Amino acid sequence: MENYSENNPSEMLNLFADGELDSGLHSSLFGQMSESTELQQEMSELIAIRESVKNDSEAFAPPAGAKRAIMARIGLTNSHKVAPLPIAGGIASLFGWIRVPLAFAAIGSLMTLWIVSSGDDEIAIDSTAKIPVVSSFNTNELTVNVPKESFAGVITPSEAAVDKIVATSDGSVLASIPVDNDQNQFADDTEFASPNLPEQISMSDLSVASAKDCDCGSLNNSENNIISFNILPFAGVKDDMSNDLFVGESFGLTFRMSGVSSFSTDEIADNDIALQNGMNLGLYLPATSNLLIGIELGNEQFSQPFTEKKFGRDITYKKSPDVFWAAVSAHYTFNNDLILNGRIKPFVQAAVGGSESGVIWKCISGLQYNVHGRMGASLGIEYGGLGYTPENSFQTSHKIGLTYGMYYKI
Amino acid sequence: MSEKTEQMEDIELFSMLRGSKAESEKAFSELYARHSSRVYAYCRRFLGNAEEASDVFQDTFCRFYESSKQDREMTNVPAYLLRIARNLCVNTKRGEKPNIVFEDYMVVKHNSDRQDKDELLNLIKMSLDLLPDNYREMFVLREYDGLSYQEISEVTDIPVATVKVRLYRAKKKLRKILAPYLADLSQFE
Repeated sequence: MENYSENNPSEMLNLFADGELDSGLHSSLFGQMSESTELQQEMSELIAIRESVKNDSEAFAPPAGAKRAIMARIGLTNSHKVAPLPIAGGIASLFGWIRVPLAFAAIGSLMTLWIVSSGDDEIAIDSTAKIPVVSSFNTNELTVNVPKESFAGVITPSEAAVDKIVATSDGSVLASIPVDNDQNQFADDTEFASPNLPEQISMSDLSVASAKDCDCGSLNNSENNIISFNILPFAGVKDDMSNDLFVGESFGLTFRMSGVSSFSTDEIADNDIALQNGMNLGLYLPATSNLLIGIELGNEQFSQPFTEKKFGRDITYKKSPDVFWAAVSAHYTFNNDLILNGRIKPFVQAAVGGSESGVIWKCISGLQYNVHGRMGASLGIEYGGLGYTPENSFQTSHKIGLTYGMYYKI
Repeated sequence: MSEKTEQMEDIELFSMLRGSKAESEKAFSELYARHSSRVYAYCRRFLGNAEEASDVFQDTFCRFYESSKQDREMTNVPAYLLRIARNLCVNTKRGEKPNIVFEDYMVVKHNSDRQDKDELLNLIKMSLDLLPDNYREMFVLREYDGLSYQEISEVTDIPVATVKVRLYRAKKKLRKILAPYLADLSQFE
């Protein structure tokens, strides 16, 4: 039919390229190729065509719903079983992945609580509690001891704004009383930190007797109650009396950035993992003195690899698009006065929301530093996850890294 | 069932299709995962039309499943699937007219960016539509489905010698269509 001869160098070359040329003819072909630029050009063209065909992903990807349609047609499965909601697998996958950061947050929380509770005689009370001083001791005359050594090298008593004083009534009964700037009269009485602050101060000077409508119950569980106040290391800054984030009914803004990197997985090799920067803004309101609830809006890159089996091979598609997201977030600050006298406190944060690619979730744990009463900074470890659905299959992407930012109380 | 379907041979899975519904479902899913890509690639590139390819692709697997219920000896599942697909594709081809002319290709060629890495693939796809059906089929079975000449012969029921000739001519024609681009490509290399 067609004038075809296997002795034609071009035809031999095609057979060779397809692995069909008899091995006895290889040397003959190679000899001719070495002398012919045309044959060499033909070989490179055949290779180029073959390599291009390998990248024809469109041809190797059956339509997404084809399998479901086929199985429904042949009656192998019920429609609801053929098309399972991705959310079921997604939730299982989500829990599988977030258990590590959740465990991390839980362990961090427990350690913090252990540190806080390790002060045997001090009872942690949140700083917004009303001051149960005088009424609990039935006296208007308490002796207040100022432990000057605790401020050594930081301030002098004459410069101090009083925030922490250990007071005793008769030397044996003590109670712990953190001070709230907005709800007690010490804030207005910082003048009592006179240039010559005595080691013994009469409690009546502190004008605490008026705080009688207090809740005293939480103080009665120790025989050696300690009355403690916080003295800020910065003099003359009344707003700094509050070390908590957004205490009161005001709301606060946060700005946070992150430098994180995707987990190494089967689909993302180590050398594919680049640092991915993100930023977000948050608006929070206090739910309790320690818990803030708010929303966060952010933008960041998220690796979204997808692997499917094609032609007996696993083919992975990789992309890391910018993702805009919005999430509901909860931020919990631990009561801990041990670091810089309470100016640095541990916190945990969790957020769940949505993005243009799919569901997004985050867990953060770190420390926040109250620079000023209205402003602070935070530094922590952030884990982020994204659920996305390429080709109708639920996939997840995860990353972990540092986060840092600042907050401002309005 | 103690053995995982991923570890089973095609022929064992084919036998399982005659079993219970649960077994059938597992076996079918595994066979689909293994062979759907090459079957669809054949349909997609041989027919050139995504919608027709999707229909034929689905019909292929439906017929394949139906045939498993018959008492038939199976030796080569992918070849069998491709034979079904081929018959359906040929039937589909009989009812249509070619709608792409050479000038179409030329226009696209000159409007394209030579530096684009996908350019050659796009041109190959368009060039395939310009090939006669019997040449295009050989090319697709060889380059997309990776079949040997002998396997192509079995799938298409034509002699190996004819496969050689058609495949050679298919590639030659393809290179001729792509010549302007391939020449430029070699200059950039």
